[in-house]
Amino acid sequence: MPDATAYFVADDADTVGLASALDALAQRFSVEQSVARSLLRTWLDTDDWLLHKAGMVLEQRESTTDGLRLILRRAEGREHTQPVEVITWPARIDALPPGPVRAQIEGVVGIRALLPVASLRALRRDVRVMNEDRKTVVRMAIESSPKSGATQLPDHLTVSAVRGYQAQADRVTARLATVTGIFAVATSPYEQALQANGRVFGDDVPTPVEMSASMPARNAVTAVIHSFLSTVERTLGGVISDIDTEFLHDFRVAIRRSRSTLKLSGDVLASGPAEQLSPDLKWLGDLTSPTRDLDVYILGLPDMADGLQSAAPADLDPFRDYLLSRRRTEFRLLVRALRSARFRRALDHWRALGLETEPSNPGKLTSAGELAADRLSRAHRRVTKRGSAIGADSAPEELHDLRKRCKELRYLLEIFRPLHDPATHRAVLRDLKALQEVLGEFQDSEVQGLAVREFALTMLSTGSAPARTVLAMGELAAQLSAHQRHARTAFAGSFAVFNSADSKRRFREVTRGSSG
Amino acid sequence: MRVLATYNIKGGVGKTSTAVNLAYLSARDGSRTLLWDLDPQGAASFIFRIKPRVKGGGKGLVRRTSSLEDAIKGTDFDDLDLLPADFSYRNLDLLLDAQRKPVRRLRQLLRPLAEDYDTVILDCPPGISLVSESVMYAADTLLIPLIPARLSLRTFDQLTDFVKALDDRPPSLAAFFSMVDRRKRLHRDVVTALTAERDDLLRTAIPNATAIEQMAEQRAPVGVFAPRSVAAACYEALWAELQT
Ligand SMILES: Nc1ncnc2c1ncn2[C@@H]1O[C@H](COP(=O)(O)OP(=O)(O)OP(=O)(O)O)[C@@H](O)[C@H]1O
Ligand SMILES: [Mg+2]
Repeated sequence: MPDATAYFVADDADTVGLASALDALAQRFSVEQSVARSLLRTWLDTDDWLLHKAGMVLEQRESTTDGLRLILRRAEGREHTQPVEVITWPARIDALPPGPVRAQIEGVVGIRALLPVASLRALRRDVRVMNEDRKTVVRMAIESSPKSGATQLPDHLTVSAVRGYQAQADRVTARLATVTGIFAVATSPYEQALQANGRVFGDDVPTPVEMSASMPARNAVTAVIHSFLSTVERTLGGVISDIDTEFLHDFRVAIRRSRSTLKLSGDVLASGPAEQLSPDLKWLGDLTSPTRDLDVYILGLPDMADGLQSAAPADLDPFRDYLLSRRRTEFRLLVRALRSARFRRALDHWRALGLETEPSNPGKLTSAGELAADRLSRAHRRVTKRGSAIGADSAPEELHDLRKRCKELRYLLEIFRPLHDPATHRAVLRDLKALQEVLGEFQDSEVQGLAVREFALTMLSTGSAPARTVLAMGELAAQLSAHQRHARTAFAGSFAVFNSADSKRRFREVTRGSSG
Repeated sequence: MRVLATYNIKGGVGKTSTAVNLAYLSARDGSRTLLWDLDPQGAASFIFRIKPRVKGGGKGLVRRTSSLEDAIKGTDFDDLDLLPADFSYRNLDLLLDAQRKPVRRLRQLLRPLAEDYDTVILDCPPGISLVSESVMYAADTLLIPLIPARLSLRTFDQLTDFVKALDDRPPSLAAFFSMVDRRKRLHRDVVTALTAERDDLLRTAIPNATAIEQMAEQRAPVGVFAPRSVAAACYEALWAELQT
């Protein structure tokens, strides 16, 4: 049962606003206020707003009286407080000391770092409203921000019911609503501070591309590629400061998708700029691979260590150290490249794409709908054809190649999603995802198995691997080949589902939808 | 979630004073704490200035037609909530008796609170009843204030035997001397002799103190209005000893 909280702000012009509010309350209720304290409030969330999505608000509050504390407010109104030493933000979860707040958010934020999203300096007075037994039934906070502070909010007042006293809080709120010079608002100081900081919940997701079946294909493709560009621009800072691994992940996905879009539908664009951008995207893809691959090993290590049968998880520590040091090296190279003139030029090409006046390639596919229907059915055909050709003794490369074709189909589906019926689209995606998972498992375990072997050899030759580590790595390699065998066995089944008459019918429905 | 309950068949031995002060200290240490005032007289509710009234009464809670969560009130202290007493709790025995497995009902009722609370303290009415028996099933630890007298120890020993015979994981027993008057020769002797003799008693004793008497006047735990009193220090020591 969430206890409703009410918010009021003082009219800018009215300097007595909040003071008169207190006077008005004191006529009806017994009110007691604390001395004013000065606070620095900093709100934190992950780049993708995981806390917000879980209904949580995390604040770091610094005050002269209480020191530094983390305060977590959950959706139903419960608060957890944890005193902390200075934390350097952004911070990943292991940088927070164990305690009640960390315990609450650990599972929610996972591998994502916490970043300050808004902050506010405030002079705060706490006010208690009491009933006839002098029991506190309502708590209020009155905050004003110093006129010199970075974030300027009007003076504001927050009313919260003590649990079980909502009726009294409602009476206080009703009384405050009649006071001139203040007015009720729907947003909390946090939301106001966010707004003042130019942030909104969900601003990590690019605004969806507007697309209709009848719009010119060229415009649709341009909009799609520019939306990927906006993700690249948005995540770049986080990649370079290595806030957490997901910035690079998102950065790479946007590059891969652009590349694939250009490859599969770039022919509707003017050829010059598209041809310029293609090699840039390949370069960027290759550039980011080593660091991302190492991230994947490092993130996967705890799970793999859990699966060890004979070795102890700690045997892998030197391996972990080795991966971390390789990552540091690769990451330095990556950052250097992202600061290079070449990268800036690539971004320029990207930004210019589709905006040129040069006429696009002549072709029959002029509308987005026609383009979608054509490319989707071709990509689908490629998948079914190659998949059907795979038998029990096909070479692994054939499955790897099929995985690439599946990815292309997946990207096309995602690009043209706005043209599709949502339910059918979801069903088609589900069939494809199941197949992709098996193919991904098959290839990833092969690649990782080879990499573990190669790492072991390098570590041996540099004397950085004790025997127990090499043995444990041998177990990892064995684990990975078991995964790969398992995926190989599962392939036939999941391809059969994808290739079934039902699934094909759904796919035809989706493409028919595209062509409008 | 750890469940503590004050327990003694004798009345006026300091159960409520203990429950109130320990609940206050638990919350002060950052543990999310709920105090359930099970006594229809509502002494603990009174001290926290909360009206002894639960919508739907004991009947609603026991039959689960009204939810425990809705009856909970926030106290004036962070992390400390109270489930108030209700006059209808005087019939709690009969209500429990009408349930299947009556003595386990209380424990069942507490289960959903584990999400929200780290510590629950039950303040029991005196006497032997289905309620007090239910508390033995619900609590991890029974807090037993003992008036310094040989007779109190006999009752405690009976309780120890009774608890051992429970057909369930028995609660641990934390017995301590309460209302110890150092001016009384008998009190001094009993406390010294028994603490030396027995290893099943806590080391901390709660003295007879005006600060504790004043709780009903001040309507607050002693730590609030007499933080530097001997009584406050003794409850601190008792709470610390319970954490070991
Ligand atoms: N250590 C103490 N020193 C002085 N007075 C005390 C002390 N402990 C309790 N009292 C007083 O004795 C009376 C009974 O105490 P309390 O209510 O804590 O006991 P109880 O066991 O809960 O009683 P009941 O069985 O009636 O519920 C109260 O008036 C209380 O103020
Ligand atoms: Mg009592």
